[in-house]
Parts: sequence; structure tokens; C-alpha cells
Amino acid sequence: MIRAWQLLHNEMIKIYKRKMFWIMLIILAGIIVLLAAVVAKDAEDHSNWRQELQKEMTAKQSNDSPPDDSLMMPNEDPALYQYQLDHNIPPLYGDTVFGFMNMSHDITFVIVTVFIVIIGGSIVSQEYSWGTIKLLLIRPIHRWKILLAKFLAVVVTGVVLLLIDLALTFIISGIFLGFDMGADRYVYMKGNHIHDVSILYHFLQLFGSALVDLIIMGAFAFMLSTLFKNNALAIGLSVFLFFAGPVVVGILSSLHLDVAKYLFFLNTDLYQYVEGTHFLKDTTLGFSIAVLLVYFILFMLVSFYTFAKRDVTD
Amino acid sequence: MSAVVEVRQLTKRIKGKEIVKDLTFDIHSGEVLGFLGPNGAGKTTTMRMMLGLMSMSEGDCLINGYSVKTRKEEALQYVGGIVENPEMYKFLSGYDNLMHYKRMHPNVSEDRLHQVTALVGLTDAIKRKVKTYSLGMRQRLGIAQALLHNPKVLILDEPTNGLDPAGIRELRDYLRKLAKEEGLAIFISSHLLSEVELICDRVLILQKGQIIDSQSVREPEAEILEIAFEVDKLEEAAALLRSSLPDIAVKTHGEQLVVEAEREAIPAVNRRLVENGIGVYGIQTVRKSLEERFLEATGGRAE
Ligand SMILES: Nc1ncnc2c1ncn2[C@@H]1O[C@H](COP(=O)(O)OP(=O)(O)OP(=O)(O)O)[C@@H](O)[C@H]1O
Ligand SMILES: [Mg+2]
Repeated sequence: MIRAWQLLHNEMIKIYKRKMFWIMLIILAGIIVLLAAVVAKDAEDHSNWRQELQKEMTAKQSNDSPPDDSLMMPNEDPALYQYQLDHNIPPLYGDTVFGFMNMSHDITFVIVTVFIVIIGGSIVSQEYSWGTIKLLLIRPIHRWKILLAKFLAVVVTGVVLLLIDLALTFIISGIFLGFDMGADRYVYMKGNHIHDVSILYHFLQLFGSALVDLIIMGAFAFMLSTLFKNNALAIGLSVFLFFAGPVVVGILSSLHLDVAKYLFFLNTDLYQYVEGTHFLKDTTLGFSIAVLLVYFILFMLVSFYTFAKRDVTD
Repeated sequence: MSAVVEVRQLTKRIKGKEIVKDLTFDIHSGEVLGFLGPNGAGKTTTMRMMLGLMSMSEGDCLINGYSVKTRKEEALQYVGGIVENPEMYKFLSGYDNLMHYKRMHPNVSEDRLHQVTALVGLTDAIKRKVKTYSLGMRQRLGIAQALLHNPKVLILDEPTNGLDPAGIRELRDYLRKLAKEEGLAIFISSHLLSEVELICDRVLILQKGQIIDSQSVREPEAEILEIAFEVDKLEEAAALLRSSLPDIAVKTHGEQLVVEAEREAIPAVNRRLVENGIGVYGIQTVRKSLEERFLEATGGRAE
């Protein structure tokens, strides 16, 4: 038990004692500063949000084009506006801290995923390219334990990066937007029903969904890294699939192929089921979880089997 | 002396090709065993199998009684090793590297870490990043890492690679001391004959994956040398020694009288000759170098 902890400790050191990790944090912080600066430049006073909402609602009902300042607020159903007015819940404006966190999440999360793919896709193969694999594997420890420590290190780093992402967006947007928190409720339509949750609960759902996505993408890169002993291949292929996902769906659905829904990288965004915005209409949360689980187990089996069996010949 | 390492019928086949064939040998506590062979003979492959880095096609290696094949985790507790170059994490300090390996063994104290650091003379540099180390320093850090957990067996693949002559001598003295004083069994591969000759008690000569000879490099107490005496009355001297010292092999070789005996016997032989009125003009010991034996064994050429 103590030894398992020690192995994880080793792997964490090998991640955070390298310049690469700190460069990643600087890039993340830089992008958040950039986004916050852009948003802060056009920040507005929303104390009369009720009138704004009212105006937009009538515009919508009369089927006019929405007023030009609508970019700063979610484009929603008039019924939702009525609910917000009735319950005194201001819209989640992008130039408030919570609104900024909700909006920037989409961008920063992509960056964090790329970072985790880079870390997961190199954590095994780099031991081969450094030549350190030999001294690592002549220890009185089962190989699967060493590999498990490596995978857990990727997961822990994923959680840490997400937390840092949250903290940085909070602090940086707070500084740029003067800690104007904005709405503390998050309302959305799902089907014909209005859902009203606390902003913390909303962020928790985003975080959980992001984590699942990170773990499965990390596991995929990890498997490639173990299999091919080659960082570039593992990272390249994982990042490619991550970004190519929507394109692949487009192609497959235009060909009327139903197999798209069984591809793991199209099932990784579980948050889409919260608001019912999933683009593969015949999938459900349970279906996606099942697909992800099957793939995850497959990735792990392939990784552990090859790592345990392989001759170290470099 | 007991065998801490027992290698039995060890064989490695890769794609149908036998890289290592049917090796059987023991390594005893306190012994430095050399593993000599030309490039591509299979030394590294053998050591990788003994360290659990490669699977064995046939046979086994027992370390302290534990099979590397079936109980690798127990067996490897007693082994420290270097395989080819001891690559370390360059972005970590020497200290962090040792800490990394310390965490992978049960019961290695911080004191032990400092002790091995001092032993290899890296105390002043240990907090520096390994990327700033010279090749020799990295090699010594490799030795420190191999000794960290107080192993009973050291398996070192060409540990003198990249060391300068002073470094080689230092390592040699140090390894001999470890074997003699702490009873370690040390297995060292090399393709430099001269080097093995100076460090090892015994040498296995490997060629094309097979052990073709096993030689004792020296028995410090009773090493038989060939001693050439330059004398005036050759036949008379030979007859005299044969009759008066029957334990000693005597032959004539050209103008020389050649005696096979221990070094300690030289004054006695000399005295016998002189007392019997034979003039001795010179005495020379001819030790067959391992190189000659190695070349003899491999049929005159290394490959
Ligand atoms: N993975 C492999 N696949 C095929 N052949 C291999 C493999 N690994 C080693 N060999 C072959 O096995 C033979 C022995 O190699 P090995 O590295 O064990 O020799 P060595 O005695 O350590 O040589 P050197 O003195 O050059 O270090 C070589 O002919 C090599 O080409
Ligand atoms: Mg070799």
C-alpha cells in the first residue's frame, strides 16, 4: 500500500519536475488572460438586465432579428426569459465571473485535453526514449504496478489541471471583471422543461464530464504510447481523433452509417445529455457510458498486456 | 562459498535464432565473475534475462534461491544492475534520481542513500541536475543506484564504458573491495580482456551465445606460473630438479629450463641449482595472459 503511493509519487515527480508541465500552465494562464482581456474590453453594466431581457423577448416573439448586444447572453427560448424574469435570475453574461467561467470552459478544456493527451501519450514511451526503462523495470515490483502508477499519475494530473483551470479562470476573470460574479443560478431548457440549478452544481457537472473526457482520451493516448513506444505517434493520433471527431460524424452520417455512435471519441462529452444537446439523437447517457466503459477496459487491457509481456530491448 | 546466482540451461531465441544457448553457471558470494565475449556474443541478452527485462526461452536463473522466471519480484530484491549505459532522468538531480529508486525498494534509509553517494564520490554534485554531469559521473551514479538497496548480487553490463583510466582503476578497486569485504557476487561483462583480467577472479568466455571456456584468472594463494631459468648446464639441471623436486613439472624449452611452480617456489629452486654447481644467469616468470588464453579458446581470433 505504501509502495503504491511511492510509485505514484515517483511518476508525479517525473511530470511536474519538467519544464514542459510549467510551460503548459503558462500557456493555459496566457490564454485565459487573453480571453478575459477581450471580454473585459467590452464589459457592460447589466444592472438593467430586466429591461434588456424584456426587449429581447419581445424581439424574439415578433420574430425580429435579435438586438446586437445579444452576443453577451445565451440565445434562448422566450419561455426561459419569462422564467428568469419571474424568478429574478439574471442571464449568465459572459462579462461576469461565472459567465466567463461558463463560456471559457469550452476553450480551456480543449487545451487541458491536449495537455493530458501529451502527458498520457508520452509517460510510457519517454522511458524508452530516455533509456530509463531498464533501470525502472529491474526493481522488485510487478510491471503492472508500475504501469498502474503511471496511469494514475495521468488521471491525477488531469484533475489537477482541471482544478488549476477553474482556479485560474476564476482569479483572472475576477481581476479583469472586478469580481462581479453575476448570476448564481443556471437555467436551461431541456425538451419543454425549464431546469434551474445552482451555478456550483452546473460547474460540477461540467467538471465531471470534462474529467471523464480527459480520462478516456488520456487512456487512449496511454495505450498508443505503451503499444508503439513512440510519443509522436501516440500524441499525434490522439489529438487528431479529438479534433477530427465532429468531422468524422459528419462524414459518417452523410453516408448514413450508424457506426459513428460506437466510436468512443464521439461519446466522451457526457454533459451533452444534461442539456439534451447531443448530436447523435439516438444515443443516451447510459449508452455513452457503456461505450466508454467498454473502450476504457479495452485500452487498459491492451496497455497492461503489452507492457507486462514485452522484452525490454530498446 | 555458496552460489547466490544459479543459471541453468538459459536459452534465448528470437525469431527462431538462438542468441544465447544453454548457459549454465554459478556465481558465488565474494566472487567477481567476468563475462567476456566479442561484440554480439550475447552478453547483454544474457544479463537482460537475468534481470527480468527479457523473457527466457528456456532454462532459468535463480537468485538467492528465487527463480527470476516465476518469482521475479523476490529475486530482484537481491540484485542491483546496470544495463549498457546507466541512463538517468536528466531533468532531475542526482539526489532525486536516487530517491526515485529508493522509493521502489523496501527499507532503504536516507542514510544509505548518503552512504552510497559518498562511496561513489558524488556528495558535492548530488544536488545538481544529471544533465550537467560528465559521463564518468553518470556512470558512478549508476553504480550508486545499483548499490542502493544493499544487493547480494551486482550485474553490470560494461560498467567501465566511458570511464577514464583513473575512473576505471577506482571502480576496479572498489568492486574488488565490495566482493571481498561485503561478500557481494559481482557479474561484469566486457569485451576488453585486459580489463576483466584485472577485476575478476574467474571469467566466462562467450562466443556466439555459448560458453566456450571458463577460466580462473588467478588464485592468489596458489597460482601456478611458468618460470624460465637461464642456466649453463641445461640437461644436468633438468635431471637434478626432476629427481630432487618431484612435485614440480620441469621441461626444457630451447636454451631455457622451464619450471611450472608457484611463485613462492622460485628461491628454493634457485638455491637447489646453485648449491649443485649450476650457474643461473637469469630467472623470468612467464604468465600466460588471459588474452592468450582467450585467443586460444576462441581459435586465434575474436570473431
Ligand atoms: N531484439 C533482437 N532481435 C533480434 N536479434 C537480436 C535482438 N537483440 C539482440 N539480438 C542479436 O543478438 C546478438 C547478441 O546481442 P547482445 O547485445 O546480447 O551482444 P553483446 O555480447 O552484449 O554485444 P556487445 O559487446 O556489442 O555489447 C546480436 O547478434 C544481436 O544482433
Ligand atoms: Mg552488450
